[in-house]
Amino acid sequence: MSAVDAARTQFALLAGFHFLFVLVTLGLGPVVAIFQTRWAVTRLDVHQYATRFWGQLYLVNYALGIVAGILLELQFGLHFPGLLDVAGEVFGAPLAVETMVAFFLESTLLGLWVFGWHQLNRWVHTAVFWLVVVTGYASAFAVMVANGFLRNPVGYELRDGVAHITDSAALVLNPASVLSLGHVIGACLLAGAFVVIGVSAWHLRRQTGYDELFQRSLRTGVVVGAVGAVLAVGFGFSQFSYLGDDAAAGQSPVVGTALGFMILGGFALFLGAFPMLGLMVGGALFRLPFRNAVYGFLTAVLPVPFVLAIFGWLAREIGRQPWIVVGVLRTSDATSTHSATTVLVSLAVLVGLVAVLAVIDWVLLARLARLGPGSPTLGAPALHAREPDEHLTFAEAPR
Amino acid sequence: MIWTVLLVGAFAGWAVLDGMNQGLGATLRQVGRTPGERRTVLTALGPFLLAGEVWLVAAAGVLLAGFHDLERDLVFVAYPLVIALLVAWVLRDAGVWLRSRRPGVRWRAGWERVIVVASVGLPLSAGALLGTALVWLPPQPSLTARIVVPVLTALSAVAVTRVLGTTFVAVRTSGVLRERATRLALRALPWSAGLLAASAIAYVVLVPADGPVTAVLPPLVVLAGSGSALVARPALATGRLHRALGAVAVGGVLPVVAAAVALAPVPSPAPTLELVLLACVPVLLTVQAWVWWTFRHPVGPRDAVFY
Repeated sequence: MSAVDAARTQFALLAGFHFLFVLVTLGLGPVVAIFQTRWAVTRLDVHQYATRFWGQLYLVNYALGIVAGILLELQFGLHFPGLLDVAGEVFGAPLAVETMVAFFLESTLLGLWVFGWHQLNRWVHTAVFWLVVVTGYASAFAVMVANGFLRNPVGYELRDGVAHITDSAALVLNPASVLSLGHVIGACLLAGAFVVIGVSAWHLRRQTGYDELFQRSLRTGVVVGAVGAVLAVGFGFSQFSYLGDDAAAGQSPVVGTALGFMILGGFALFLGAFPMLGLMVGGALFRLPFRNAVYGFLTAVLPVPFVLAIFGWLAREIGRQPWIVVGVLRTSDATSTHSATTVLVSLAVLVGLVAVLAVIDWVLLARLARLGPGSPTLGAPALHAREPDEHLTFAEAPR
Repeated sequence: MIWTVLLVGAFAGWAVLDGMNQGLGATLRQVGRTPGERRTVLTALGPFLLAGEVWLVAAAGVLLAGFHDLERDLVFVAYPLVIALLVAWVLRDAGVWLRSRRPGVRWRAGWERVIVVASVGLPLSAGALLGTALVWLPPQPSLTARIVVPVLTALSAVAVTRVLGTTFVAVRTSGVLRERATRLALRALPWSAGLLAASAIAYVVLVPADGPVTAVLPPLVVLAGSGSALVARPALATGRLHRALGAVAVGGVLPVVAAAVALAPVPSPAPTLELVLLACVPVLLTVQAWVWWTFRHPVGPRDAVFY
């Protein structure tokens, strides 16, 4: 394996892991925000527990999203310095906005949301989470501006072999960024919806005693998923407007296959959304004679949008090769001069680390999902949030 | 100029604010002797974990966008250190997030050890990286300088974060935890002042000064380390903890700023972006200040427990 292949493999695997967690962060965020808003309005316990249950899953997933994102941020400097030499100014600009503004606000506010549970006014607390969701989507937009430039470089000029921004508006409104963002948001909403639907169906099938909470969750999930399916399919096809005919046909068999599976799967989800919406009318699904079979099916298909999203991402990234910036810079010319061994060692260390942590995180998420909303740690009073042997230590009158 | 201020500001902010979290993590099992005490210390960390580490994410973003020459050169000479920093950072976060996600004595103790080791590894690799930037860009002729300076800056970073973290825990807890944290902070203070002075002296001796500015900087580092220790020591001993925290924070910021000035990074900026970023800074600082203000008190019965 050459150093170029090793660097590309390392980036692809780290980005793949990051993407799987980001899908849930962006997809589950609106669901949590919707339930918290309902809770703020109605003060009903079922909304409180839904907020805390889905919020806890959101957080445990978020942890790994950050971890994988941290590893990704330095990949460009480590392995693709040529990209920074040629296009650092253009490509780095949206990433600086993402890291310094959008992610900075998102994470700081998320900490405030988790730990300010009993200290902030309920409307302020709800608004803080909506801000977390909005800044999360702003992050996604900034990343898509950077990625869109690689696919369809616009708004720049090359002077002495270095790209400079000449038209910020063209860079930001690049169809390869805006249309693809719509597509990616659709994919995220679908992923979040399938998590909500799959977990809710599992509890409903087993009759774990939280029927009302999970019926409401399932209904919300179906609506979010339907919106996601329309966005993903609509913006998905609109992307062919800026791709050449050869790209539409698929240059390599891998790209063609990935694209084909994604389009087929996308259609299936799109077509499935309508009967699901119909079954929500008057809660028809929950009274079907064969509802347990439907619940089982809905849980089994939970991974589908994740698989499709990975196919879509493979089609986009492999479809751009051999270019790192289409028509401007080849990937092989952008890669660092480290030896293949060096890059392979760091690949084994970083990817191995993230893979182990990701599996641990998924096992924990499955466990927390199965435990149900009985007593989530998130938002519990301090004395209820800990294990029985973990008595917190503070003075009699701490303030 | 704006790019340089953004880079140094973000990195110095991380060094001090996340430095508190690193010191807290490194002393987790010394300050907290029972599972409940450790859970209390992690609750004290709570809102500050994300609010601290976002500064390094921001610094790396500014480096990527505004200083690609520096990033490329530094990451090339210090490749293993960058990988070590990333691994330590990931493990520290994983430890904090995962430790309390399921019951079981071994599960929790295992992740606590991960937190301790990674919270030492993080300042160790970050300090070594800063020292490497000072003596490898461009490489100093003396091999001794190229090795001794990064080693001393790495050890200084561990000592400084230990002081920052234990003082922070003293502010955010009460009772026996506060006593233990204060005692550990007092014990670490001479180490941080001494190692900072040793780093500065090694730099003066081993690296030829190339101007009046670089000649002034090492004494400034000695002064920052010793001065902050001289203010913090009586403040810790008499329980004026906010004063002590302020002193050790200043003592942590100044060496980083001095190193940054000595490094004098040359930005390669985009024409309009720096103004956009600068315009966002007040919003970012306001949100950060909101977090510090909300959680300025010691942990009490109203605090949410999560980590």
